[in-house]
Amino acid sequence: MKYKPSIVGWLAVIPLAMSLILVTTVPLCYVFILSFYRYYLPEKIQSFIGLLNYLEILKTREFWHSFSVTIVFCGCVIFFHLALGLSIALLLNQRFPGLEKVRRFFRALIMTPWLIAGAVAASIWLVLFHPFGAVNSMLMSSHLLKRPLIWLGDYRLALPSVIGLYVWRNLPFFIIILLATIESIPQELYEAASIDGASKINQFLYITFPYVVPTLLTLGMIDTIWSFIQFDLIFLTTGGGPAGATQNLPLLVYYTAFEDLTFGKAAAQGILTFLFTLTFAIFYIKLSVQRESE
Amino acid sequence: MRGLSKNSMINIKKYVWLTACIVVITIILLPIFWMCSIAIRESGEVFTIPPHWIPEKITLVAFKRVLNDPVFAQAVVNSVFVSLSVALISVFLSAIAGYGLSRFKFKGKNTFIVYMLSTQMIPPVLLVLPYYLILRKTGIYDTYAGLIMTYLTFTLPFCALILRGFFANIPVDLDEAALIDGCSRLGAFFRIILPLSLPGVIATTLFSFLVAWNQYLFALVLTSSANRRMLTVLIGAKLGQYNIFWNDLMAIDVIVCFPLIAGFFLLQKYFVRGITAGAIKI
Repeated sequence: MKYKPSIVGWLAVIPLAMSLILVTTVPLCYVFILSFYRYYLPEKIQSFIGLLNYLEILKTREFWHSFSVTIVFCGCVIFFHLALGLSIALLLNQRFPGLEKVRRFFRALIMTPWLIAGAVAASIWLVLFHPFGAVNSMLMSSHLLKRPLIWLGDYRLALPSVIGLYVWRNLPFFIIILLATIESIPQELYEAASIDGASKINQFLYITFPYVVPTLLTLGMIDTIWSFIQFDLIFLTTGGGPAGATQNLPLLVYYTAFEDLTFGKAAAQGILTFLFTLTFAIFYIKLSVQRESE
Repeated sequence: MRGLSKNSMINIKKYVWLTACIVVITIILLPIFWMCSIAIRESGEVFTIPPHWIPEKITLVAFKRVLNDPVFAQAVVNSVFVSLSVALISVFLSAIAGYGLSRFKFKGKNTFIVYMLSTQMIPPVLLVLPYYLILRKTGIYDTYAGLIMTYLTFTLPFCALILRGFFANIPVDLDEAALIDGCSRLGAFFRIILPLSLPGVIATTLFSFLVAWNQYLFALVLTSSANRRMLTVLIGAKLGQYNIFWNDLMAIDVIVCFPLIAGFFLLQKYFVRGITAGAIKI
């Protein structure tokens, strides 16, 4: 039996494509339609109200507050991920004779936070940043603090605390990808540069940095999307509180749906969140496809 | 600089580098160390000033309590069953699709890749709304089947792209040789390509197991009974209690994450290759 390659290709892809359409596209269409309805779960009645959900949401302070929380969260997270990720990747890229095995061991160890579940990470953070927990206890016994700080319950400290948690948990991913990029830079470039007398700093500025810029861009976009839709770490540590200080858009959607039971409104909020991520997603996908065809 | 030979300069640099690495890794791993350290101490020693990094008295009672808890055992069974099913189904579907994507040129291939990538940009919290409503209507709410189906959202595209990367490394000549020898396409795939990329396939399976194992939001929303409670939801529920037993909770954490960390260490090489070469185009 001989088929045309194009048909075999499609045949191979179809089972996956069908499943994916079933679990993503169909629900997405459903929720999109739902966003034009008033749907309060206990009433079981849905009535078409056009764009009213959207107009109502855009007028509430709660939505814009969550929006700004999400943006601040995103911005800080991306900055720390890229800055720390690049620094640690550069550190781990240093090679010394006889230490290659040690270097690989470090590289493997550093992945651990990325492998643990969000729920596990959240519970560790809660015990570390507990009012009587290790962080306060350390600061107090070294006399940097007189009274314990309520890290996750203070209006000003809660957002920085969850940012710290998210930065810590996802940092390994950024280190590994950046390290792989740096390792792929041809060594001849450095050899030529050092023969020409370029200093280490100049080698970094004119060889390493230009080489990692595209990776930084891609990672920045992936991180924007990931941190925009982050749910479990914040939900399990602060639950959006205190007084909404850490309530980002996904949490707002969750509470609107599963506490207020207003599914139509939640759907509209979710669609708006999706529109924000979609803008970044389009750039990211364009870049990926470009590299794909190279 | 004059007094130092070139060799001792390298030695100094070596020690500076080692110290820097150890400091960075200690900071990154400290929370995980703290988790393990609390799991093996007595409850009176959880909150002390200054913190006791190494407990004064090491005890395994927390592990004993957790392992004897039927609620925990049920959650382990649930999580293992769901994650294993998700891993096997998604690797099976993605292996076939990944083979197609790595071997054939066909119309709409790039569109399909873009489609797979774009499904990853949908906020999970947006998808969970229709899932909740649809699963309630169709009667598969609070069942394994419902969870497994919805978990595929995360794993399918990722696995397909990773596996395509692994298959692309195997020369096409091997397929052709098998075809000439009378193998069917499917036979060539199962007898030649799959065994050759076995480590990659195992790493991908472990990866999708990990994604399913760690998933929280879907498990929280799409189940309600204690019989269908996943491990992550169990941890979340314990965090919401007024009186938290930190030793027991950290013991659960250790049991939940260590098998996977161990698996990762064994397959580390393939993981890194899969992530960098297949899934994310850098």
